[in-house]
Amino acid sequence: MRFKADEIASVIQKEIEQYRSTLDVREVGRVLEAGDGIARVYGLSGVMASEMVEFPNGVNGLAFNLEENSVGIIILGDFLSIREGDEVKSTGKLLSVPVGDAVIGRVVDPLGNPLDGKGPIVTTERRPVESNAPGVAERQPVREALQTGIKAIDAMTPIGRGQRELIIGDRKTGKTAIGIDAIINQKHTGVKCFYVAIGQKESTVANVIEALRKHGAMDFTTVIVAGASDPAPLQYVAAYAGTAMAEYFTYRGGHSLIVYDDLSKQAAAYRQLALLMRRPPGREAYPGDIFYCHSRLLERSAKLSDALGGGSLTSLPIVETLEGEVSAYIPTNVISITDGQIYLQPDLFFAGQRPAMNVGISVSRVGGAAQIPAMKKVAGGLRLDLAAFRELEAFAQLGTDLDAATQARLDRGYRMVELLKQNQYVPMDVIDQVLSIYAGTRGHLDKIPLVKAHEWETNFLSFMREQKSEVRRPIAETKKLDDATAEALEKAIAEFQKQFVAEAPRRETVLA
Amino acid sequence: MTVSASQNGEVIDLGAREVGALYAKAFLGATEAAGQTEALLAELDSLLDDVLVRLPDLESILASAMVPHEARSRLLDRALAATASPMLLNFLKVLSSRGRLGYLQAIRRAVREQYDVIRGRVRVEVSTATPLEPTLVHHLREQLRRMLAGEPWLAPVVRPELIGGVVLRIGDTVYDGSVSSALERARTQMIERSVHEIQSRRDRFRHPEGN
Repeated sequence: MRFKADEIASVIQKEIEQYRSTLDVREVGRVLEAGDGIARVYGLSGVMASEMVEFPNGVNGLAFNLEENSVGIIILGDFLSIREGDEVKSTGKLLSVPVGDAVIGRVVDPLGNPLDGKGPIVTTERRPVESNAPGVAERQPVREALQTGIKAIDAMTPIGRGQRELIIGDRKTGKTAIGIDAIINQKHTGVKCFYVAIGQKESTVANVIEALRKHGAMDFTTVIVAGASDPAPLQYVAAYAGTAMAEYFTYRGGHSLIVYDDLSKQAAAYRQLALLMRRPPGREAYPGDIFYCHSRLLERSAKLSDALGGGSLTSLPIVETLEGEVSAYIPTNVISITDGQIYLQPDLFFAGQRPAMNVGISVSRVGGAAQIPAMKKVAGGLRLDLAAFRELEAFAQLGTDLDAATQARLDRGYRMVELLKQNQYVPMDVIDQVLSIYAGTRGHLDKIPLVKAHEWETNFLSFMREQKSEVRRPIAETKKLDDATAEALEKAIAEFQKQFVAEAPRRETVLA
Repeated sequence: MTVSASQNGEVIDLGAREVGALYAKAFLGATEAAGQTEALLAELDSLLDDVLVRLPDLESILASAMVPHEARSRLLDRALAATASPMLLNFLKVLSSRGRLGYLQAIRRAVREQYDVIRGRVRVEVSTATPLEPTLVHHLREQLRRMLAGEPWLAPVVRPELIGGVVLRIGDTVYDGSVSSALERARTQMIERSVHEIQSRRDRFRHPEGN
């Protein structure tokens, strides 16, 4: 193709003709000092709190501290090229990010710039990063289930759409894995997912993105990345930016899920900013408003009223503890803000129980309202039974002879624990979970050797799906387990037991 | 806390500004009561521009904490008693006793600013590419008088990089009508429109589902 100078000239001519000269009115200030992600600016006397300002190199900042003689700005981007004496312009706008379908499936930074090399994000819709949480009249109680696909969670600490469930635990206890599995399980449910990676190694984030892509979850997920090497202002803003992107769908009657991984790093970034701005430090050197920082973020998760479309924003904040210390400042704060927590323990993790959830202290304050009736029925007493089993197990370790009844309870407990183990990236359908937990709690696995419990479960579920779909279908359709279905289920299990026992020797020869 | 940055070659020192504003208020309070502000301001200007600029050593001696107040006071008496008015001399002695003689520049600046406010003057920095013609200055002043609450006090600056047009700066607000910024805006608009055009054409060939 050849370029034609005339054509180009005529295009430019048209542009110039259409160009309307307007007077550019701006409020300006001058940089007194800059560094470590912050700048102190003289002037800008009319700037508003949290207003966006612009530096000469195109980098944006936020007015963070309004002082008597100067303004403290947090710099959202490269702060190394900002020099003393540079002119700073106020924009009269609040920080906003691109939202809508254009961001779905993308990896973006906290300002909405693409990081995945798939070209620009083309959308005219933007949403302010900070917005008010819906008030009391704009909400309704949480009552729909958000299935995570993890048996232990869906059965014992169910999460509802619009709930905030904290995932808390030491490092390397599988906190992120729960968030990722929950995202993967939203396939075909229409829930839009947002994964906000704050202060993590870029390699870890790359692995997460790869896992999501491999399991087909990137089609409905946005990943917001503020890595460990990004300046603190970006790490601080990332959580709010992700929430703004998720809210777009919520306020249009859709459902969204957001995972903040993790809020302890966000708190550390905020602490850094606050200290650099000379705000007085409080407990653990965090500023006084660190609670507000998290509460205003998490309060934006809600189940909206029908008048507002009935959308929901569910959040799974993650907090890392040190040596299981949940009474540290940030964990206690976030525990008190959220509607329950999933507590992960390293000793359970290393004992092979994965997810390493401690059922005794993990709770969901929404409870049964966020479960399908069938699950509510089969898993009703599971949490208490397991807690009783843990107690009994500790007692039985003393080595005394046990009577038959106690031994039976122990056996049941061991099998339930075995059933609740689940591999990563294999979220389970909720009906399968119901069937599996039904079989476990009703003692159908008591005679199966512990090592074969998993095999039994896998075969049982495929048996139900392939050979007894007439029993499974009513549960899937009505989401209920009535007496007639339960009876049919009992019969089906009895039939399967015979098959399983009969096929056992053949399976072993095949394996051998 | 002392923070500084250059502004048109001038140093912004927040600490000094605060000190300056405080002493300026006191200075103006005294001179206004005596009705001698203009005269004393001229004396202060002359002291700073005619004396201290030529004798930088004197300035450093006055500002130095090593020289005791009594010695400075005697020096001021000997050097200025014959020419300076008693009120300015007293003011300088007060500054000396508080160790603030080093802030004379900041004090003068603050006095000027506060005096402008008292007299209802508004300082307007007018930047143009070429020096302003007197008729234009007059016209500009008339326009500004209608726009502003007080009497405009024009401070012309020549900045050839503006190419043409005029940039007014009143306080922290900049009214930019220069050719250079108009060209810059036209440039960004053209780029934005072209990017949008390219993207929308690309979208036409794309599958509606997914990327």
